[in-house]
Amino acid sequence: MSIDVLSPGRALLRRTGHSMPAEKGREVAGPVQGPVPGLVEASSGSLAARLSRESLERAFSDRFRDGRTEASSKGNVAAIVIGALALVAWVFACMTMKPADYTDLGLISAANPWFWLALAGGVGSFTCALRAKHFHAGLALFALLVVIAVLWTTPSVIEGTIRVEATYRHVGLADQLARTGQLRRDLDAYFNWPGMFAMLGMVQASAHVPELLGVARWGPSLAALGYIAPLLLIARSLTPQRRLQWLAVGIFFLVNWSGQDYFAPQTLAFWLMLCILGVVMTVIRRGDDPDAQGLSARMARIRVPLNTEGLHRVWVGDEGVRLRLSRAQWHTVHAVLLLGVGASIASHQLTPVMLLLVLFGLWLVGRTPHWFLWFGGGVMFLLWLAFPAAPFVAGHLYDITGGLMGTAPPPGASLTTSSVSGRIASGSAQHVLAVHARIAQTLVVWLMAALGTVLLISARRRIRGVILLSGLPFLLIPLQPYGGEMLIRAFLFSLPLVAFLVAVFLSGVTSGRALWRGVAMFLVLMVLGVSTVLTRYGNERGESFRPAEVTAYDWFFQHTPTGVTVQQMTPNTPHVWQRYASDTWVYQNDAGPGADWSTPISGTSLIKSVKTSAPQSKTVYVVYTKSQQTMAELMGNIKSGALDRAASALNEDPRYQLIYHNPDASIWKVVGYK
Amino acid sequence: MKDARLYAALTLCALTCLAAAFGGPAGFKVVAIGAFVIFAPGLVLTHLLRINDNLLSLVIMMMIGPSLWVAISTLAAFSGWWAPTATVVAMAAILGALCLVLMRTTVLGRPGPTADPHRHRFTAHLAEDPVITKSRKHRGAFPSPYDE
Repeated sequence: MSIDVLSPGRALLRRTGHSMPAEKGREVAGPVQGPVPGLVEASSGSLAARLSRESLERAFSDRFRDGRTEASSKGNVAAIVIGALALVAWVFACMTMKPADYTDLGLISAANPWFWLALAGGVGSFTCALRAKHFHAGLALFALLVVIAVLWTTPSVIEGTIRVEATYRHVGLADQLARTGQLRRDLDAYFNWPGMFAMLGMVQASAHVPELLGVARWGPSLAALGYIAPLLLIARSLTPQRRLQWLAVGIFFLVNWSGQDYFAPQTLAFWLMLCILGVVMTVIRRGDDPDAQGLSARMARIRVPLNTEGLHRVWVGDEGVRLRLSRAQWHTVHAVLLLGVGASIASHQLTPVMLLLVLFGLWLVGRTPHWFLWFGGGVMFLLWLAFPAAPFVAGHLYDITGGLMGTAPPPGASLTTSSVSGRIASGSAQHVLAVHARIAQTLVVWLMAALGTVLLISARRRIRGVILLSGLPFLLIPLQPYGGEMLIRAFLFSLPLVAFLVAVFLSGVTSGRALWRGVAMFLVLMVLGVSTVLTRYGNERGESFRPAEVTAYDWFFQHTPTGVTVQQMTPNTPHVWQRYASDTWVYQNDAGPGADWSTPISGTSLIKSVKTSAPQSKTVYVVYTKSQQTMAELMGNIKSGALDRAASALNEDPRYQLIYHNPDASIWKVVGYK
Repeated sequence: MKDARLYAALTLCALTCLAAAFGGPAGFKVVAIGAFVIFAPGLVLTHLLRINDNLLSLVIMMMIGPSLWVAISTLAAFSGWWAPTATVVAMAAILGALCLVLMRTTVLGRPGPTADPHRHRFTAHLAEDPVITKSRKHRGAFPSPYDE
């Protein structure tokens, strides 16, 4: 079961022309002799030269060789101490921060000095661990966990309830399957891609628990923990330098403002994609030379038919750690990969498309020699659309292919509400500031990634795989008419590779033992982290819920019969975590970014909405919670207090009987509804 | 300990059977069954695969469980054969039995103590290490005439 690790030294051997062209599939080990011509030649010139002359030689030289002989150094001790202090500060922050202090800027408005101290400590500990004389992966992991705790877990701790309305829906879907095992494929898209909900339903039912709210609350933290290993594997397949690998992983967490990491099928599918990507980019079949396979390899051979060893194979192993597997291991691992692709297809609509594009891209650049991954995955995807998801596909052809095929939107479909301009322009001034901060942070990250690309090019590193994988997600934008939503997802999908490029840049410009370089790295990471507090949690005022709101729904589920119609002003409430399919849930408006609502909310408009959306209703309840007002106000749909006033008016309306009330929620029964 | 994965998987299988069959606190049940679903299949398969790279093994180990259970539960939902407790307990029993078989195989496959240590002085130290030899059974660099 021997496995060869293609070491960077061996790769340099090939690049410098010192390689011994052994027979295919066998590697030649040996020390690198003399300077590296590629690096030296790249050191003359303009921007690339300035960036590469010092920084590259530092970044890619043996100065960062891992020290394994000494267990500790000043940097490591500092990382432990600062990280421990940051944890203490974070505990104090969680005890003192109050969600009631949220403004339209979100979490950042409630952050106190303890929080900033914790964030600075986490980032500082991470920087110390990365720049310690003797790098220790365990310390980098510890510091990264501190950063994740501060940046990804704080809202879950201080709010006391699950954040993001969709999470409650997903808990409700798992509950529906746990209780009945029935797929209502005619109801909505979720039941046509039920993979994750079926798995969770099986866990819930076999554990005999009423719901999974307790698990869902920690969704972002669990997702972050799950991301670490596959991200590290991806980074390791791109560079053999451990500090750079960990820096790339850290940057992913520090700049990920997308907020798409919660108790959701997309999170599971994205995580599976990261795992599959990491494995595919790492393993090589024994006897295979992956860079002699694939379309690009054939093209290279066409261009230089006499020098396949030179042009195409020159970079083999230069990009990171690759592992050779035996035939049995190879087949088993790829069977597991196909299982993962299948699970992704069964769980989410969009992510498998991205996954198949990635697999196709990897085959195209010769990173994986087998086409069956993308082809087999594509066949599975089409079969899923044709059979299990047929009820949804038949009725939503425009949603699936509208952007690609140019199909006319159905009557009443409004694209303006989800467009990019709508997202940018709507909402309060503070909310607009948060949206603009997201755009600015994204542009800065992409700029740093571009500079990282320049560094790699200057070092004559093969970057086509990295460029391809970081650019492929943007092909999704015209695929569906999601507007700004698709941009967010494209950003997320490209982030693992973009984070690597940013890490290359940052490592390149801050490498060296001078103290100011370490301070510079800390400051850059800190700026990214602080901006992520604003960009990631800018909607937190609308996306968080009060415990009294959850209590109101708990009361509702226990004291009302099933099979009723529930009318809400907007869907932004902690609802449907039970009775997902047995009750009919109707919303008069969708609190999305965009223009003002045309129809004012009133008792009459609510009843009219029920009659239009659910004409078969016999018993109707109306539920109002504070979060409906908050989100609609945040998104610029209504003026301050408009829904509160409408809810107060319902108390005076004889058609509405108030049956439950607490400071944050009210429930009415519509009397004499016909 | 080379069999640590098998022991971990066996523990998860046992805890899952306990939680599903006999109950307990809600937190314990969710954690036990959740950990079983996520980790147990991967622990067993990565033990069989014996990939000598911890990070790659970890990623493969993590992705096997959720992928497998998404497939099983989706199939159960579409086929109408929805019996969560029975499915989970059956899988735990199968995986637990597999763990026991693998542990027994591994233990028996190891070279046992010998009365004459010099006789095996030049053989491989571990049963897993491949020993290149032309004969079907490796007899060491200096085989004893008693082996013939």
